[in-house]
Amino acid sequence: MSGFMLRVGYGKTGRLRYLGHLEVLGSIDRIVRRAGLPFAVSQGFSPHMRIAFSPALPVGALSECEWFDLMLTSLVPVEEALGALVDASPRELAPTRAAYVDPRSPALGAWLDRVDWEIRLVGGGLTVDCVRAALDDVVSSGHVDYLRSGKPRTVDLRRTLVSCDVRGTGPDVLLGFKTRSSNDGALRPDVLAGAILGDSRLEGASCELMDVRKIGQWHEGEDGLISPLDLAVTTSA
Amino acid sequence: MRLAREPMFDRIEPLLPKVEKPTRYIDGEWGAIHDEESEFRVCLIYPDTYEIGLSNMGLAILYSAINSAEGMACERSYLPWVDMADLMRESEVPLLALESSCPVASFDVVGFTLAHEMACTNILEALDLSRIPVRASDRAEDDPIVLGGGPSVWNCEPMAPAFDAVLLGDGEEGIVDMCRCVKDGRSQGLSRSQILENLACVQGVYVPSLYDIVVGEGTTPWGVAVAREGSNAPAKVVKRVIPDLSATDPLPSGIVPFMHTVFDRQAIEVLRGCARGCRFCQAGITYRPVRERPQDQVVAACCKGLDRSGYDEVSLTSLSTTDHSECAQILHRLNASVAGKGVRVSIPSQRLDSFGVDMALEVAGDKRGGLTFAPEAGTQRLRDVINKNVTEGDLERAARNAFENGWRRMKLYFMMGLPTETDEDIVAIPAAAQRVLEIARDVIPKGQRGGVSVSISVAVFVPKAHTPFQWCGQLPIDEVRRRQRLLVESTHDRAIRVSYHDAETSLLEAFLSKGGRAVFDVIEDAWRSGCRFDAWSDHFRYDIWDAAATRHGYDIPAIASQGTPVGTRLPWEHTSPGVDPGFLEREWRRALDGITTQDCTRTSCVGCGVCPTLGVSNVIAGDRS
Ligand code: SF4
Repeated sequence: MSGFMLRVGYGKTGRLRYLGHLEVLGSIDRIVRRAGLPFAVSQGFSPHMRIAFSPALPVGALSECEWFDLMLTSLVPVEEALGALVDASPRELAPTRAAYVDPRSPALGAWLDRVDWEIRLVGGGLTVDCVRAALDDVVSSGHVDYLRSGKPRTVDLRRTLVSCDVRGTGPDVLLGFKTRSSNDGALRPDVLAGAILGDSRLEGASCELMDVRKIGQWHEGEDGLISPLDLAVTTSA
Repeated sequence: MRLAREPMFDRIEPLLPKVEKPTRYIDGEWGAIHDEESEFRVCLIYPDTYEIGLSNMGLAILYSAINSAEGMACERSYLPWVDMADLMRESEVPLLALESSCPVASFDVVGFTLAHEMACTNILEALDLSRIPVRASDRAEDDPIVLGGGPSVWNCEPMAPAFDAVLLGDGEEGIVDMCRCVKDGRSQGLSRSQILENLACVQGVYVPSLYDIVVGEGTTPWGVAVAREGSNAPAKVVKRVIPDLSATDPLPSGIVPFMHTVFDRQAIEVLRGCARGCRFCQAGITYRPVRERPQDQVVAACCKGLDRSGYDEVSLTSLSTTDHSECAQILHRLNASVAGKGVRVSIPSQRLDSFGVDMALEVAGDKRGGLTFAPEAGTQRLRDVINKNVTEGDLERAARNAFENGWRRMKLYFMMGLPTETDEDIVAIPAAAQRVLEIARDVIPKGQRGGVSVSISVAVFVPKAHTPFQWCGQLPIDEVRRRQRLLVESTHDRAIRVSYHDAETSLLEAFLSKGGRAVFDVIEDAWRSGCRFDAWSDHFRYDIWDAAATRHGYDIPAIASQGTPVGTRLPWEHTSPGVDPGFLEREWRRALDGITTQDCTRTSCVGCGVCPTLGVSNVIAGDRS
């Protein structure tokens, strides 16, 4: 079925950072319905909205660069569609930009394979130097072992970690890192943070607060990074 | 002591990463009302988790009623799950209202929904987390006035000491009157006790502290509540009633949660009350008369509600939706208007006849989940005793119709321990399931029988106040267990799945349903000993309850199974849903004689007394007969 694919960028900010991924999906489904957009519905036993999302953001993580692709049955001018979505959204989950893309564009989930993160760490005795030392220690080991749903897992840092750095702003320590995902896996921010903060690498310092923020996400093309809206097409009814 | 009104989200936020489902505590839902202007503030609390409370229709109605009233703002709170509650105590954070994140104890009025008996320790837990004394008598002048209301007020004595005032009956107007009374009293500088005196003058309001418990000749050991001389309190508090449902807003609160809630859909109340007259059913008495919402209003509200909320499902709710005289037309029109939008229309329960199946068909779309029917008793004799006016033939026709139309799974609800029940009635339960199964095998071609299942779920009968069975004792627990075994042993076909309610939960329910004001000591003791979330089977600790009762000299099993002679003065006789006590007595005698009583919305008045007492009548949109 042909249609018009509206690609929408949105944020997950403020208190709504605590929403789980499924809660975000459900909420956006409702936002689209409230916005009154002519969304397409799948065929079959339980018809549902034709919408696809960028990869799940961990509970508690902030982002202003989340995406969804919404299939519409008729063309609505971008500004009008975006306005209707914003009006139907809680402020902390509101769309910020949109454009039409080719309906045959690859699904966002796997296509967005480059993600940049920033983690703000606050805690007693935490310094840029001690965090940097812990990070270097983790990176030099080449991998991180962790538990997921009680099962031991390993993530290969050589494949998944592109670069990282540690900076300080006042009492906060900022850990920035760029990741690359593939079928072999992805580096989750909580996993890297867990490795740095765990295993008594910090010697006496403790982390009381951790703000995880997704800074950007792209597709890694042959000529560099491609942003989701780089695929925008001009459409006429 | 009244806490200061100050937002405290920053105190809760550090706890969020440590708890299950943080979405329960974050607010910001679409449709929530943030009113910082109004001077007078009410916080309504549902005494269970967010995802259960948010779906509660009653609370949604009251929330918008108060917020629409001049000069009042209403917020919500729910009981934090045990992980959060413990963290809050540890971090010294009081219970907060969701919208403003201000302490519940900073509000003028705090109202609880008494959803069911098993929520009683949760109410104490919520009060305590809020830092409001759990007993009304311990509250200071400036503490919030604590109100109760909802389905479980009909023997509210066991919880009465926790409430400053309780509203009986329909809440949408009553709650506003109560709040206005408190507001006026506060602005006139009246004392707490003067405000309570004034509340007692509001129709439908019961102020427990103005009634003394008198144990004497003709009463049960729990005594009766007698209005104190010289007070304004009426001898008998008669419930509030909204005469015409169409005069109320069909779309009250429009709060759309982020998280998955138990009823995650747009609900529209299509009718209130049920006059089928099942003799065990409390709601069947306390929500009379029957008031239908007209079809145009229902359809318009559904469409508007879906647009406003963005839900992909709309549910027509009531005690018996398929009894609505225009049910078929409403479903036709709704299905037509939502076509192509990926929206489902649902009705919560099916009537046990072919019409019920037709309506289920109307809403099923391409999907055929399970179909649920409630014959309640296995034999015709016992169904006549309880006035469940369905026959074997009805069940068989409904089953045949359902299987022919593609359903494969059927669930049948029964009760155990009903008055006059014998082993024959128990054995008849799996036999009924067996006949349904045979119909399935008859109707469904051989190759397609794989998914066929019939399950039976058997609850233990709990005698409830203001019903024709209010004098009954509960079946003793050993006998419940013996009959549960008999039930399982007489189920021979492996395609029939049997489940039954926990006997101890039902036992406690019976104790709480029968007891008087003194039971509060047991409730408080059980809560202080660690009971909360009693309705959650993995948190229910009967041993703690039993020990608490023993400490206060009560024997839960003995009290639960104790019958009361007709004519005895009952602990709830000072509260009235409008029903004539003589009617209940007559119904009890007819039950014993196996004589059924008709539904007054299909024939003529059967004299329950509600209409003349309350000055109302059944409001039927079309024709029910
Ligand atoms: S008074 Fe009569 S008509 Fe009214 S609810 Fe009772 S039985 Fe029905």
